[in-house]
Order: sequence, then structure tokens, then C-alpha cells
Amino acid sequence: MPSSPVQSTDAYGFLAADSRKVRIEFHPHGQGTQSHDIDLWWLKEVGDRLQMLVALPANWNSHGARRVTVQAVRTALVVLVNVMAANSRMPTIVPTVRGGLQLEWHGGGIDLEIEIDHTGGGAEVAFEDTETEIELDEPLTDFAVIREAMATLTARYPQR
Amino acid sequence: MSEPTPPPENDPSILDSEMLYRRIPGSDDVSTTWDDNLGRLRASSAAFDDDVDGMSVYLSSVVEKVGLTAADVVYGHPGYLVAMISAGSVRLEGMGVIADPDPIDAPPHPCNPAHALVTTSHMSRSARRKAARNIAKAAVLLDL
Repeated sequence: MPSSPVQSTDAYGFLAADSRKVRIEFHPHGQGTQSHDIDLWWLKEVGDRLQMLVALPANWNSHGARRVTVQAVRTALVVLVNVMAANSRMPTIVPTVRGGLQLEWHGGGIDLEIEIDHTGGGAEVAFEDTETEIELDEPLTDFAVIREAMATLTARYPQR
Repeated sequence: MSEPTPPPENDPSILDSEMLYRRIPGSDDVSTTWDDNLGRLRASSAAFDDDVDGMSVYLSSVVEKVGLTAADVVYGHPGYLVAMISAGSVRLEGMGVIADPDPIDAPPHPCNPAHALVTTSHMSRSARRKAARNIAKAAVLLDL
């Protein structure tokens, strides 16, 4: 009888890293199969960044960090498709120790961070505005909240 | 009424003035972000999230005591950076600091006698994230 596959867990108790087969394709305007009224000007650069991050080995931080999951990558792309505008700043994208991703912007007196967990099913938004003293730290449930924050950030901190 | 936050695991013999060295990856900006509010490159808050059993740091006084420097924190880890913050700053965020010399499960490293942990297990996830954001802004990336 064949033995059952054994799924090992890492130091955080998560199942061992999944496949690294992530393929992010970029279809400039006119080459895609569908035409939508969205501007994906940022997709090539973000895609390259995500490809690099998902290829990081386990323990990429020397403190036992988990590999970035494909699920986190997918959710990061969904978030960005929903919040990036034609004049938005590019986010900094960094991995988290538990296999998730963090998108962040810091400028115009605003700190905006979106942490996506390793399952891709949860995300937290942290927004701090030193000018209005508005602070927000809550689960991401509505892209409109981020779009509003991004609009304020872009107004004060336009693209170079 | 919500329960009060329990006190952190903390060693008061580690002075607030003690500087803590945190080793973070430097290649490809994996753990750093440009902060236009501060006008400088800094560590991302993600670099100050918990490791398996707390956040690993090295105590500067012990590093010096064993004849080493901050640059030795990245020994064997080419491309890494050192982010420095005081124990007092970490405690202001509700975290604790305890010595954890020569951890059993850690690979050999010359700075292991100076190893310490920033403790956060008493904090909610939300409180830890906020603390990490504040620490990331306060920490200084050392020019090694």
C-alpha cells in the first residue's frame, strides 16, 4: 500500500511552502482579450517585484520567515487593481514573516500600509495622517476606504 | 470593560538606554521602504514583526563586551543591514526586552552571547502592528 504523503509544517505551524509556479502576464492595451476601462500602467513593475518576492527562499530574513504564498500574491494584485489610479504612487511591496505581503506608501504626511496575510483571505489597513490626525487600523472590507486614502495621498504627494 | 493589558515579559536590568540591533535583509529592498515623510530610507514595519518566539535582537553593550561591533551582527549574512533602536523606545510601545543568550536552536553566530528577544506575546495583533510601525519609523539603519 502506498504511504500517505506527509505534509510538514514550518516553525509557525503552517503547512510547508506550496508550488512556486506563479506566472504574472502583462498585456498592454490592445493586446489583451478584453478591453476594460482600467489603467494597469503599474502592473509590469509590480509583477516583476512579486515574481522576485515569491521566489525568496524560506528563512529569507534569517529569523525563520516563511516563503511568500501564491495566495498572498493573488490578493495583492486584486487590491492594487481596485485601488491604483492613473496618477497613484507606486507602492513599496515587502514580504511579511508569515508568508504574506505588505503594500505601503509614505508621503505627504500620510502613512498607508496594507498587510495581506499568507492565506490571501485577510488584509489589514493602517492609515495615519499627521495633518488631519486621522488614524485607521482595521480589517480591509471596503476598497473605497483605501481609494479615499490613496486620493488624499496622491493630492499631497503627486507622482514625480 | 475590557481586560487590562498584562505586563510584558521584561528584564529591567536591561537599561532603556541599551541599543538593540536588529538584523534585516538589505538586498532588493526586501525589508526597507522609502519614507518621504522622513526623507530617508528606513526599515519597513514588516521587518519588526515577531519571529517564532519574539523579535530577535542583539544587545549593543554585550556585543561590545565580547569585542565585536554592530557590523558583526550581519556576519555570515552578506547584503544584510542593521536597524538600531533603544530598549526604551521599544518599551514605550508596550513591548518588553529580555536577554536570550546563545539560543539553543540558533545557528552558530559570534553575536549569540548578545542575543535578546523583544517580547510581544502579551499584546494583541493590532497593538503589535502599531508598535512595529512606530518602531520602524524610530529605528536607524546603520552605515556599517
